[in-house]
Amino acid sequence: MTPPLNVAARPAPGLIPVTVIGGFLGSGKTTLVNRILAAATTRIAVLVNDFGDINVDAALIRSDDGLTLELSGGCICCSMAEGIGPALVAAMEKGPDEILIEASGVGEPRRVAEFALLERGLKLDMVVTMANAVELAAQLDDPLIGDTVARQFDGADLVVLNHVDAAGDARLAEARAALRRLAPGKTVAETTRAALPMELLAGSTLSLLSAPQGDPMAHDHVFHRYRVDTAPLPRPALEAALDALPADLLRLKGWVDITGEGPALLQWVAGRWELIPGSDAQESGTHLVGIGTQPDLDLTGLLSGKPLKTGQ
Amino acid sequence: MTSSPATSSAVTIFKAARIRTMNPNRALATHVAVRDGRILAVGDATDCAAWQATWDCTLDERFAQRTLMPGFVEAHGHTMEGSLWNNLFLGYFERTAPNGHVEGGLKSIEAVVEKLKEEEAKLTDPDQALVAWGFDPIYYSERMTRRHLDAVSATRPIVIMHASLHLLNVNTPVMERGNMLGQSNVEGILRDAEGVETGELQEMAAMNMAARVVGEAMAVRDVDADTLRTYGRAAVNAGVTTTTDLHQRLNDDSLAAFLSVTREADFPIRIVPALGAIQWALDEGIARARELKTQGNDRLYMGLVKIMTDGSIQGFTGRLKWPGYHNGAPNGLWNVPPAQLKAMILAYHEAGMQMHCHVNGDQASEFVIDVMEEALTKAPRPDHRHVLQHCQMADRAQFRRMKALGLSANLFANHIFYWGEQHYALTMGPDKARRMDACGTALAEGVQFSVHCDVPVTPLNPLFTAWCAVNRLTSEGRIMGPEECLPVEEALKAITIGAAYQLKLDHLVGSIEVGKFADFAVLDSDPAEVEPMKLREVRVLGTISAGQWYQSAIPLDQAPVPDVTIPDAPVPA
Ligand SMILES: [Zn+2]
Ligand SMILES: [Zn+2]
Repeated sequence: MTPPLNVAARPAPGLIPVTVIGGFLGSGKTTLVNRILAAATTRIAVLVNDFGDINVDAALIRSDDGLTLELSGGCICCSMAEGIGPALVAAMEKGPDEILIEASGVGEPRRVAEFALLERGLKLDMVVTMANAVELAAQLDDPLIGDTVARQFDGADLVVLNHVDAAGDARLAEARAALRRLAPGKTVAETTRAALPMELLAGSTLSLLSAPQGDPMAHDHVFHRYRVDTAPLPRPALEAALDALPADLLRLKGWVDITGEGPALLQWVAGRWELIPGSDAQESGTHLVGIGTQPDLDLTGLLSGKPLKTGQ
Repeated sequence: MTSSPATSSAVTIFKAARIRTMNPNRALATHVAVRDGRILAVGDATDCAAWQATWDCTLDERFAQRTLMPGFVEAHGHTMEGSLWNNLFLGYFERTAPNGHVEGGLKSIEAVVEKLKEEEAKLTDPDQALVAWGFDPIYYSERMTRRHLDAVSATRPIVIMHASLHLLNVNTPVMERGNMLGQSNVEGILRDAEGVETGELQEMAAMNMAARVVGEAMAVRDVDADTLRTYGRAAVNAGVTTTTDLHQRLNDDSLAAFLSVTREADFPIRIVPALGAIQWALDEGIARARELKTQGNDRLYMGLVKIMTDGSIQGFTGRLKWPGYHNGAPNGLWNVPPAQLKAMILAYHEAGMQMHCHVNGDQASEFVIDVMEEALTKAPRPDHRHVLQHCQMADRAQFRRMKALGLSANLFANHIFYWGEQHYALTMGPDKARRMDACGTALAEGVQFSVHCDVPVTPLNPLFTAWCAVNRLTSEGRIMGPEECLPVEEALKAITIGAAYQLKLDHLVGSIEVGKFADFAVLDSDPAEVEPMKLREVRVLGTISAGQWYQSAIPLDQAPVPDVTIPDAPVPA
């Protein structure tokens, strides 16, 4: 086991990472939000949908630190006044380390993510779409909501198939098949009570880096960790490699030593990445950690310009 | 008469060439006596002589050559009309502003750009944003881009809201300030074939950012006193004396605005706001609706609840049953998951509230009918008067179920003129377009109904809305579904007593009957006597509200709007 990397637990300067959690009613969005909040060591602002009654978990989210903002649904005119845009501005004023947005049950997570892409003070971290393993197949067959549920997987970085414990073999197989069709090539994490490894989601805490490296995680062996310790990398090849990394790598983070430039902090999430020049690195060379679902991903090779193996 | 309260104050008798009362017991009259803002008596010259012998009367003969009708009732409008006109109107068809001026009528993109240049030249502060509304791209062969708007100003932010309110056009300064150039992952920023941003924005994220750039000019506020007063003027111009504001959060500030403006001596309308259920958590919304029911006055009626279900048909966001959109566009959007909508409708029904449910597509109307059937089975309630608003695609089977459940329909007749051609060609296809806004079916199946304009989506003008329901003429002169055309008399009922019924105010307004409010539309001719195709040309001189005269700001010699070209021989489709 290698020691944790000495990367300060701080976000990129000024930009607040935003995680969007979507999925239809009953998929476990609120449970996941609560798990993240319970595990948080940083200040997380949460935007939740407020329709009372059905979403019983919503009460659990309410906190008195002013970091929970309620969204109300509605038509274009009320969304302008009370929707995600104004709530995000209000959340940013509170200076959180991260922002979580729980999309509405009929919302399209990728549309919600556009707010984070456009807002100068924010950066989109990850778009997570949740599905209910018990209900998914029936939901997709329901003419009232089938198309709405299907559309929610567009643009997801990570799909969480939740309630797998309650689904039974046949339904689980159906749900898996549906996701292969609706979210081809995307990482699907199967969970019970939305128990995802938190370091997958944490945008700013870098908990990924402080956890043991190199061991497959005790999570149904779905997720694997990677470590890269290598020589300085030339910028053009590095940038090309970062654009071409496979979709089942979810997160990659650490210091890159760029040939002729020096160290830069790399934050790579589901294909979106940034390199922030900096000199806090205490060792020279390139040192990165990643998490994804491929058991034998040769990250060092990929970053050095080795082409992906065919079939990946 | 000795102990009657009618002896308490002076009586005004209005004499008219004709009074079309919409009260079947006395359909026509020539004189109406008013005391304390209410109708004291309705009759003819002989009756009038008797009144004059009994009461202390003033005979008002200003309208002796005119026709009086009950003041029109618009059961689906929004007070937003009262603030939108602070911005430039860019409609393809002409439209009358609340101040009586004709605006719009811009028949080419060049004309739109010229109008913008004219307006831009009037602005003195170089930072002030230019905001316009009512632009409808479907009428133009060319698409507006930011190049057009940059030619108006390359420095001042310009934002143009489309008539649908679901799309914006902006110029380059807005895109730059809003961080919207080079954002290849944001689908709401539209691009041309070369991948260059066109300046058209859709979806909340990009539209919200544009609104932030222009700031104050597009800030969405709660309804305020000025907005309500302007809405009142627009109503006078259209002969409307009772109307709705059919989706409001109705928090304390907006309630205070409603309460204070409706107490002003010269506020010319009675207004019926509806609580937007979607804007409240369920239990809080029900508590608020209960509280609101205890508020109000002679000009303010609270207690309606609005339920939003789907989007709009012209925006391809209405929820449709199989086979969906004619052009293959994906099915529309729910504002709230159907299961939550169902819980909401059941709860408000059980709480005793009257609901007005926005349903455009036939899947949305069927869904609400299903839920209402369940609600009414679980908790039967006499005279609930729930209304399906828009209800544009309901077919005969749905109307039969509505009849059985006692549901009313408020049909969006203006759609036939403004977007009928688009429905025919793109959204619904010829078969379903022919039976849109099926007034004829509602009448035949015995469903209580009204027709509406959804102002500001289309202009507030019930006589024009009635003309649409009677003639079903599209903007290209196609008669879309002649089988669904309404007889004139039925259309006049729909915009008076029919709409009043849907607001539970038919005991107070909607007909000229003793005891009701003295609310009249003053017209230059009797709409029941003109040729049906000329219904839209009947002029409104103003209104009488609670016996008080309000003159229309529209000059009598101004041509009627919208500028409709009626072909010599309209083609039935
Ligand atoms: Zn509506
Ligand atoms: Zn409306």
